[in-house]
Amino acid sequence: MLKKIIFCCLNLYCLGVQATSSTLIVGTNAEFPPFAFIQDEKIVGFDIDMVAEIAKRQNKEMVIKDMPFDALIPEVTLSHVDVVAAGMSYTEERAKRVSFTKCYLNSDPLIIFSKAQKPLSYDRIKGKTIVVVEGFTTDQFMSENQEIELLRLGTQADAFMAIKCERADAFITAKSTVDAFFENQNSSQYHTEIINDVGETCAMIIPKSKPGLLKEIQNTLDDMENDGTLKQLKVKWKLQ
Amino acid sequence: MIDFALIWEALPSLYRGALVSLQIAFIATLIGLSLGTSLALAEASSSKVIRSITGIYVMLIRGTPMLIQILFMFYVLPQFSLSIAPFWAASLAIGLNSSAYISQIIKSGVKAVSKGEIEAAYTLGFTRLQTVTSIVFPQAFRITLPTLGNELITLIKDSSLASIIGVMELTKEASVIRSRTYDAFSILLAVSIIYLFLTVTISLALRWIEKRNETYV
Repeated sequence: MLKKIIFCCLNLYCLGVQATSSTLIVGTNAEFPPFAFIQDEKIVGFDIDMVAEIAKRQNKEMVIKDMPFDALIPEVTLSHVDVVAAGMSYTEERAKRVSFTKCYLNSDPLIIFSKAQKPLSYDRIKGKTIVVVEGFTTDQFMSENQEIELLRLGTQADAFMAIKCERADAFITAKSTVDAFFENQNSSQYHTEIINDVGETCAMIIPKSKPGLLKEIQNTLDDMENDGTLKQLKVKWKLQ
Repeated sequence: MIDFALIWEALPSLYRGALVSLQIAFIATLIGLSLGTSLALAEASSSKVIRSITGIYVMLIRGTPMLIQILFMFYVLPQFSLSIAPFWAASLAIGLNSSAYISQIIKSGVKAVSKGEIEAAYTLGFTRLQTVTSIVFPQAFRITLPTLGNELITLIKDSSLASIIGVMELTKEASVIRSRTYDAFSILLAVSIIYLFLTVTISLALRWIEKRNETYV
């Protein structure tokens, strides 16, 4: 407990933390339940448990750096962090600049939300305003659809606010990313529909300059998959 | 680290974004100048009610961040069935914000015109309107021109705040490309250069206008 508090405090200072072989500096964005979020002033979540387990198995001390999503990529490019665990999705374009582990969560199809009073189904979205979270797989997927008005906002909370305020007709996102939201909200306010066209994936990213670390982390991830730890964590965070 | 191929590829969307940024700045300038001038006039009004209303408006606008004003325009107005498109919400918010500052600039310009000249105009039989249009405003315009120019340049940079409500202006176009490609620096560099190009061009144009006006002093 104390250790975790110290880690949280360290976040404020750790721009200067240098990687040594005994630490694992983890970059994350703790606004993204159930992957990484703040609960009782601690950073928790599926991705956090994953890296904590990796650090434990590699006998390393984990240092978490919480930062805006926008800052994660420069940090990894400059090798200021060893690994980013924040529900990142693999694409070919991104893999040119950072290294991805193998995808360890190949999850839910996409889901559409609209206000219950004005339900909207996926086959009738033509000409409607659809809100997505910028950079999500849904952003890329919906960008190909020329027949809709696409509104890209910064966070899930913004996107939900946009439907609430009727700034958008529907919000399309990955199911796993909104389950946590509905635990605190009355989900009957929303009409939901599953789309099976495309799913969201999840992997960690590691600086291109650290191929050795990528291999080590990939090996640990493989072990975790083989001995069932990965599955356990998925169940714990209701991702399966 | 700088990926020139990516910048080259991104140029069409950055160009599109820059045009939107300029449009926002232009509309905001129009709103700011017209409303700002009216506010400056209202503040010089003899009615106490009008003066205090403008005073409160200027205080509210200058006392809150522009970012919050844009979010307010976008999320809160629809609650009162006033739903305007993100582009217009941003332009309006930035324009209204700017009007408060412009009113103060114009006020200071008007104050800088010497009282003696105004009195002289009245003695020569000028009406109040004539005095304002042919004595006060031409001088106030010249005095405030550099500061107004600064405000225009500020507006171009402020238009980047429209990205928060999803307007596809220059900053947002860049941010979308960055989330697509996970490129950290190249696009930011390109965008900074584009903003710099826009602001430097405009400040050169403004300096030219200033010079031209000086010759008639």
